[in-house]
Amino acid sequence: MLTIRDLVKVYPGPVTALQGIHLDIPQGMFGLLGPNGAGKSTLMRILAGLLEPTAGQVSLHGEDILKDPQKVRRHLGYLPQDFGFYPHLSGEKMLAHLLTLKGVTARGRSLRKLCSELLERVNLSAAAGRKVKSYSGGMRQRLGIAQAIAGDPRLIIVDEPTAGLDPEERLRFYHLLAELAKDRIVLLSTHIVEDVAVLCPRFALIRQGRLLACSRPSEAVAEVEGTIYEGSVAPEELDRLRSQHRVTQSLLVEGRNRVRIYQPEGSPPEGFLPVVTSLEDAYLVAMGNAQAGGIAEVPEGRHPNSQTEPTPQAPAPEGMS
Amino acid sequence: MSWTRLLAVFHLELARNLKRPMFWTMMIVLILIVFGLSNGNTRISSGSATVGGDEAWITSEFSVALILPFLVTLYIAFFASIAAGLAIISDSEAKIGEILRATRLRPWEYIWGKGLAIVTAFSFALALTIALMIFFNHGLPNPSVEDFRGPFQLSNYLRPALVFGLPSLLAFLGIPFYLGERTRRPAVSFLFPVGLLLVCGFFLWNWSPTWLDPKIDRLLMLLDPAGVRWLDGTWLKQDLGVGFYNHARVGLDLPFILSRLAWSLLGLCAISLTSRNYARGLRSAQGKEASPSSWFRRRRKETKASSPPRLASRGSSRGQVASLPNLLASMTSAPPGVLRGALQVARSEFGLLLKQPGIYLFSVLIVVQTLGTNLLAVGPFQTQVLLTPGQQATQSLNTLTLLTTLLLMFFTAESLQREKACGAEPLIYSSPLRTFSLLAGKAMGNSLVGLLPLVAVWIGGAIALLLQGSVPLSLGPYFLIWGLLLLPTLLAWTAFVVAIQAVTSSRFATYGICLGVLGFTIYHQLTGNLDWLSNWMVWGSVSWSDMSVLEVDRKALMTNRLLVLSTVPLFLALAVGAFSRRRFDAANTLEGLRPRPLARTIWRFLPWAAAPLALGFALSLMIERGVEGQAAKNQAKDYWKQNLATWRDAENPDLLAVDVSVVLDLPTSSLSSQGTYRLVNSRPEEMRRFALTGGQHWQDVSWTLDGSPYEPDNRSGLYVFTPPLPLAPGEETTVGFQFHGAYPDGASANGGQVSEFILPSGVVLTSFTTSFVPALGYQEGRGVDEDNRYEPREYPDDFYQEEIPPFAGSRTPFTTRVSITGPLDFTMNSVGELQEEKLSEDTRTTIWVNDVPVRFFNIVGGRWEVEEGETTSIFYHPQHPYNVAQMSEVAEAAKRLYSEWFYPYPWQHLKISEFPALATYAQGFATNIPFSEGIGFLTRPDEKTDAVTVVTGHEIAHQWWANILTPGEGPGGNLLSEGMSHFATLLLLEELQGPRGRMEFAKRMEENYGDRRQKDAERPLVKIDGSRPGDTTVTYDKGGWVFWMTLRQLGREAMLEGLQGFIEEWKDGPDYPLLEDLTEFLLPYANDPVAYEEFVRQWYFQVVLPEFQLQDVSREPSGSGYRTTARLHQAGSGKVRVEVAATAGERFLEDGTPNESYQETRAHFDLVAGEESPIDIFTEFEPDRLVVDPDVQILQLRREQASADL
Repeated sequence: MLTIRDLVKVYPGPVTALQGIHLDIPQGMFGLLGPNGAGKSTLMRILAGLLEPTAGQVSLHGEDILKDPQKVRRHLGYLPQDFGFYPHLSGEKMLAHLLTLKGVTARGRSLRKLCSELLERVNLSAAAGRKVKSYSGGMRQRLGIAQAIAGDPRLIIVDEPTAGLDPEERLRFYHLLAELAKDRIVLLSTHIVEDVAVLCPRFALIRQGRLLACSRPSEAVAEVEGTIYEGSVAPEELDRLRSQHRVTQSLLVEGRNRVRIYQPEGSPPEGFLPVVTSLEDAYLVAMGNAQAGGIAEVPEGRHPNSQTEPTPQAPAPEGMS
Repeated sequence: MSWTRLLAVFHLELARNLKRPMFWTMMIVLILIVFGLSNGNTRISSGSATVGGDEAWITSEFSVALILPFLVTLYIAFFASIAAGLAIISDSEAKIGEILRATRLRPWEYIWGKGLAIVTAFSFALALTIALMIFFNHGLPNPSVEDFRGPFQLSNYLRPALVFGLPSLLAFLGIPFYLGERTRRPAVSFLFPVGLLLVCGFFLWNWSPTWLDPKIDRLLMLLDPAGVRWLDGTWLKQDLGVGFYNHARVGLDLPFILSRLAWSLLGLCAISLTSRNYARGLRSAQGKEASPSSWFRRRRKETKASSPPRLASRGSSRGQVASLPNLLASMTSAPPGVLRGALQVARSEFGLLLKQPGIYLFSVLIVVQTLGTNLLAVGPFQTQVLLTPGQQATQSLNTLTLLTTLLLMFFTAESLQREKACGAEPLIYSSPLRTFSLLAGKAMGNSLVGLLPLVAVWIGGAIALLLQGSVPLSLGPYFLIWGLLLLPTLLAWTAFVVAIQAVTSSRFATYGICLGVLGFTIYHQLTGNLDWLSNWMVWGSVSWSDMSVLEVDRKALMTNRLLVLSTVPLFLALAVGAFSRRRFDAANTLEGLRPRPLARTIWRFLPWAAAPLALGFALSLMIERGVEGQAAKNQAKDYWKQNLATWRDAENPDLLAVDVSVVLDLPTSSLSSQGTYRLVNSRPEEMRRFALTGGQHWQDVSWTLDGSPYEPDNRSGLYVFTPPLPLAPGEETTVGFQFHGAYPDGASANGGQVSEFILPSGVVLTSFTTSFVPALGYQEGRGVDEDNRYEPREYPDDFYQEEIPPFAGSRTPFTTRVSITGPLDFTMNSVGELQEEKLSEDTRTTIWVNDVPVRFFNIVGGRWEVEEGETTSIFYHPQHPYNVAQMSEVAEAAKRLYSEWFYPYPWQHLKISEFPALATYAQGFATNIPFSEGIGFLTRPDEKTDAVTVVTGHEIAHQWWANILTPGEGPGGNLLSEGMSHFATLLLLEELQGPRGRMEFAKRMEENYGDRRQKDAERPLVKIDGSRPGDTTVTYDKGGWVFWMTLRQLGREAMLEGLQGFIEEWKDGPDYPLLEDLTEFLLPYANDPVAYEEFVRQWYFQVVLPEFQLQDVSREPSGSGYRTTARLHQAGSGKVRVEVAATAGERFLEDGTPNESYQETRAHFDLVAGEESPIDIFTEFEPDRLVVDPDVQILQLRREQASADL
């Protein structure tokens, strides 16, 4: 269990990036959802021991990892949002270097063999001998994944992991994460709602450094069930609609705006029909609520308890087991 | 093209440069340096040394032109190279290149915008430097330097800035700018200023032996990017007078102007090239994307790389590759140990360094530079020296220290920046690798950079030793000197750089602070303000001797090294504590700066600081109690204060006989001395009291007077004896003394040379000091320093007619009996003849007796081998046999010839003893000459001058010209010693090697005099007393030359006859001769007394120096032969008769013998200063050269312009 209590981070400015985060993260996949600048990466960097918080406590399986970041580093697999490698090294050598620094060994395998197998897992065998500086963004990301999962880490932190991956690789990575999350904590930070919906049995919603919600995706969706309507309006009518209803999404399609509104009470406008709600709707409603009424603390009882749910099976790409 | 876009880039880059901490650190240190320079410490060596005399101004154009290139090349260039070299690399690291490329910004707008911004920023720095110089030199009141300040003229600053500063700056910015963009490797642009320092500081600016071909010299002047060599060679080397330097403009010649323009253009072209290269790089990148073939290749690779994963559960891979869960389950991770982690990091860093091409280029540069320096090193009398491995290792220490500290700084800072620069920071820093391992591993990996100059210097040195072909190569001295002295410096410096980088988290701040520390240290070293405590680089503190390896100041040196080493853990602890692997929280950091938490932090680091503090304290005590410590200074000052007025001019008895027994204890560097002085009152009056000076190191001193215990009045080291009855004229008395003490007594302040010592490897003690016997009377130099140094004495013209005391030693010669007890395997020499040698189980007692009186005596001891000649012996270190046979031959010949020419040698056997090169001198004590190991024994004959003969001949001549004939203490006296010894050497060379040997050495003396004389301070020979700048070269070189011209004036036989008579007349005192006594004595020997007196008036009583210039030289057939015509201009001073020869062929063959095919026709001319005379010489042969003074008989300036190829 990763326990976060009253975590505060203030950058010089001052800019408050985290305003008292209080969170319990059980074994399994846990999503951290929020818009850009919400404080997700700050939280991730604090958990990875790369950033000192202003206040608060964080413990992993009861051990204070803020006081001694070395304790978390031993069990950590970390894939940051933005990272690079030594450009003069080949992918294989870079991975070997990182594995040595992590002290990773494998029964019956040399380091070279281990690197080779890991690279094969992330589909980089063909490029193993190439210098990292010649890698594409996706290849770099995959190399990052390889180093993050190596060593059987107890805590895996992945920050926007699918950036730069093509759809096929993205699905493959989801599958990998799902597999890994069976017996460890995997913390996934993303602003792609769909990723959380697909992968995470629990997630937290964070905005402006505060926790807005922490629940299961199904619960979040259930909360807005029957309150989302979709219709089509002319562009010149959109402003009028906005003034009268909570518009959550608007998309211009063939000269008309396809609009979704949040209508918890009363009748929807003419031509608007109820739709099957998604986690994205719940997310947008929560963000809209926070924007309209100020930031609300996460309601009591929404803190995840230690009860875990089975990890949903990630959608596997065609042909994958 | 858009000026708007270019200006946008320009403004941004300019602001970035001007806001950098590095820039302002540079400026702060510059302020300190310029302020220091405004105190007049660095001035042109010209002017008078007398109070109220003309001084070289620090405000003149020449002075500014001298200082500015040093500042630009040795200081600003480092910052400029960093800023310029990283300009493009920083953008590349920040990954903004692609965004910029997506705009309409064109490559050349981007590059020129950046380039011009950096040029502007550093031109601004140059302008600020000039403004600071003006402010400190003219605006800031400073009464102590008023004599050095001239009136303010803006052009004195602007012209040097434009001619010297700006072109250098453009080159120093443009080249690293290009290198940085071209290679995208910061290290390459860092290597540039270090290479510059290497080439300029250690070669171009100071390597200028007198025998260097002027054409090569000229070429090197133009190749110097700073212009220093040109300024020195053209205007400063030969002193043109302080008036000239204070008022004249720096005259520029066309080649130099072109050279400056070329350097400026090179800088601008480098920016232009950068622009082209950058644009080409972009086109190439786009081209690659657009090229179908490369696109295909890339796509194919991508396709291959993106092919579906072959999990173990699928297809043919099954069984070969484990499934992911199995693979993960098979893995374990345990954080690497401290050492393993460090080694892994080191291996990675090491691998990267090996891929730096600049490293290899730099290595080659160091090898070449070392080779050149070693092969061309010059020693005493501008002779080439034979380097030994130890000397080579020690002499390269300063250069190596500077190079390696600079390289380590650059590479370590960049290495610590690497993760941040390439984005691997979160991956590496979140790994369980310990911070200490990370930092230590990087430091270890980068130690290759420190190793590289060592290997390169060693290779260069090894090649030089092989080419020398005499001294065998051995590794021991290199390991000892570099391992013991250099390694601690490099470790501490690396740890310091790591700590600074950890604290500041900025490469630019690190460069600023570290360069500041280096600059500050070097400045203090150059101004003599470092000591063992602060000299962390041991710069200039260590002398090498093959005979005595680091024996002097060993305790202080070792403590210094331990102190430096002990800072390594402290700096590393600081680095680990401050390293922002986990980025600190600003609020918590501020919280930590409150008194209580801060005190806790300091307390936490205190254990690491304990060792440096303890060692520092011990070292400061050592310095304080040492020979140059405050206690010793106070003691000497008390001696001066208490006795100057009473005893400086007091009469003292003279020595009749010395009997002394010295027991040496080499391991403790101490002695016990017991003996007697038999004194006589030679004055016509009664002597109520007299004084002897004791040494500051003397312990348990006891005295006797005429055999009875006596307690003299101890006036701070001056022991005043008041006999019961005054000493009547001619009355004798005997003083006995006994003491013990160590010599040297404690550590020096900062190492350096030691002229007398007792060491396990050797002993040198003389009666010139109080090291082993008391000195008669008051000693003038003791307790005199900068604060109480008096002005040089002005002597009246008839001073020589007074009764003059000898320039050294006793007024009356005395006999000696010196008994020396030392180790059994030690040989101990003193003046006189060996009377007895007594051996015990572990000691040897040697007794030397001298019945032929001397005026000073010494003890030299060592473990030697001996080369026995007929009447001479050479005692030499077993590793230095190279020149011994020749030295022995020369010694025999010199002793025989000088006896014929000057006076029969009154003693029997002559000994030359080699002593450790802790000081570089040879002293001509009667029968017992100590030679420093560098002199003679390690001299290398060059192409034209037989250095062994020169050195040996000069020192042996002192047996006559210092011992048999002791000059008086007064103006011109020392010329009878040193000048006469040089003259004797000229005679000896001509006798042994023919005219060419003499002519070549005479030319070398002449060039040395031309280079080192100080025009305004120079006085006539009869006034030279060694107190003024430039007196040394006048004493040796001009003195020797003028005596040679006197021989030419009188004729050889008359001169030698005169000198024999002179020695006979003056050798016994009590009045000792000065130069006027010689010139008067020689008058009767002149065939033409009028001409002789005119000659003496001009060369002895005036300062004249002819300079001949040949103009309009031409040769044409005429009748049966050729007519050579020219105009001969006497551009110097004085009236001289000079010969001019039209010659054909080489006069001498390679071996120095006359060339029979050589032909010449001569004419002579009488010329006064400023006069011009036409030359018209008819020859029956076709001449190829016109030479003024072909026999090298007239001392002159710039002899090279007094000959012309036809």
